[in-house]
Amino acid sequence: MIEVKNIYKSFESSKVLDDINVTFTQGKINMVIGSSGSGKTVLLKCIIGLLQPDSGSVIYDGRNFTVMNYKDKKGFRKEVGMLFQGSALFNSMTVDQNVGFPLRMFTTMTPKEVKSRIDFCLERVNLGKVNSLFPSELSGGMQKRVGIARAIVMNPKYLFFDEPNSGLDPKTSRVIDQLIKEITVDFNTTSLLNSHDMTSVFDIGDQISFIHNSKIWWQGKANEIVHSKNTELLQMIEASGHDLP
Amino acid sequence: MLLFYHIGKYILLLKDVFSRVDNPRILLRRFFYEMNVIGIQSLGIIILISAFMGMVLTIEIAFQLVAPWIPLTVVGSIVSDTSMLELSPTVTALVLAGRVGSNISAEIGNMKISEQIDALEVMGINSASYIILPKILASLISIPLLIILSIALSLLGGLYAGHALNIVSTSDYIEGAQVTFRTFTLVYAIIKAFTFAFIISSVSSYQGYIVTGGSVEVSKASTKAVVNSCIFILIFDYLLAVLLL
Repeated sequence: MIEVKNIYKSFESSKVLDDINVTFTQGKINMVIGSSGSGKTVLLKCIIGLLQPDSGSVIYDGRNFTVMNYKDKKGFRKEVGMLFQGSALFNSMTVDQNVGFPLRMFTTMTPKEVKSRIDFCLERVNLGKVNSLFPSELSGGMQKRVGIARAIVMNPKYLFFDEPNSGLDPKTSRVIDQLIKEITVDFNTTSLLNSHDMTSVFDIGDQISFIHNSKIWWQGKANEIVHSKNTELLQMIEASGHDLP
Repeated sequence: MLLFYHIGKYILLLKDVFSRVDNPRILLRRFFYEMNVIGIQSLGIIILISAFMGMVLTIEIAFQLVAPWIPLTVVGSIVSDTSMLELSPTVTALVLAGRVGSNISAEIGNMKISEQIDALEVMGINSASYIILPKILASLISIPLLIILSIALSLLGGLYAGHALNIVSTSDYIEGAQVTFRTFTLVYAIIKAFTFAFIISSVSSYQGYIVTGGSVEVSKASTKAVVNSCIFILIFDYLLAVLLL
C-alpha cells in the first residue's frame, strides 16, 4: 500500500500539486487519470522520488519514503519497478542486457541464473527470441513489453506505469493493458498507472483518482465513474468517445 | 548570476560523480568501452593533424629563419619546443573538444530526454557516477596518451618535411631537438593534457546532463559543450603558462 499525504509541488510560481491525499492499494491497479498537463506525471515522480515534493509525505507500507536517507532510499528502490512513457530502454544495450541490467548491477546471481531470470521475464511478457536485438530494432509495443520485463526482473513490490499506451495503436494498447493486469495479479504488486486513455480505465482500472486543477477531484472505483456527478470527469469521458448513461 | 548558478551546479554534479560508485566491476567495463570511444576512435584524426602540423611548422619556421648566420638546428629546436609547449596539447585538446565533447554531450543529452537517466535513478543507481565517471577516467588516461602521440608525430612530421623538401638535414633537425630538450617541457605538456582531458569530459558531460526538452536542446547542448570546453581550454592554457613557466 502507498499512502500519499498532503503533497504540494510548485515550479517557480506555478502550482502543480495542491494538497494531494490518496492511497493506492496492493494487488490492484490504481489509476491516476487527468488531462494532459494536469500533474499526473509530476505526482508519479514525487511518489517515486524523481522529484522532491515541496511538502507532504509518501509512505510505502509504513515506511516514510520522503524522509529516508540516501542509503535507505537506494535499498528501497530495489522493490520498485517502472515502465516509462517512452520505455526508456538503454539504446546501447541489447534486450538481454536491458532486462538483466538491475540483476547484474545489484545481485550476485551467476550468469546462468541471470539468463534464466531474463528468459522468464521475457516469456512472461510474451516476447521470445529478441534477446540479442537492440531497442531500435523493436516495435513500440515490443519496447513497452521489454520495459515491463525490466520492471519486473527484480520481483518488485511496487510497479509504476507512466502512460503505458502512449504512442501505441488501440490493439497493442489493449495487449499491454492486459499484461499489466496479469502481472499485478501474479506478482501481487501495488501498481500505479498514469493515463488519460479511458478505455484502459474501464478495462483494467480498479481504483481511480481523477486529478484536475492540481487537486484530486474525484476518487472511486472504475464502475462508479459513469455515475459520478463530477462535471469535469464526465466531460473527459465524453471527450474520449465513451458513452455516458 | 547565471555563470555562478552553472558553476554551482557543475560542482554539485562532480560531487555526485565522484561519490557513491555503485558497482566497480561494471564501472571497469564501462571504462574500457569509453577508452575505445574516446581514445582509439580518435587516433585517426590525431595522427593526421599532428603529422601535418609538424610538417607545416617546419616549413614555416624555415621560411622565417632565412638569415645565413642562423644555424639550421634551430628548426628542430623550435618545432620540438613549440609542439610540446603549445601546439600538440592545445590543438589536440581543441580537436578532441569537438570530436569527443560533442559526442559525450549528445549521448548524455539523449539519455536525459528519453528518460534513461530517470530509469537509472528509479533503479537506485547513481546516474551521474554510472554515466560520467567512466568518461572522465577514460579521458584522463586516453587524452594524455593521444597528446604524447601527437608530440611524437608532430616531431616526425617535421623531420620528414625537412628532409623531403631539403630544408634541414635529419641530423641537424634531431640535434636541434635534442639540444634544447628539457624534461620539464614534457612534464608541462602532460600537466596540460590532464587538465584539458578533465575539462573536455566534465564540461561536456555537464552540458548533456542538464538538458531538458527535446532533440533541438540536445543539439544546442552539443554546441555549448564544444564552445565552453574550448573557452575553458584556452583560459587554463593561459593560467598554466602563467603559473608553471
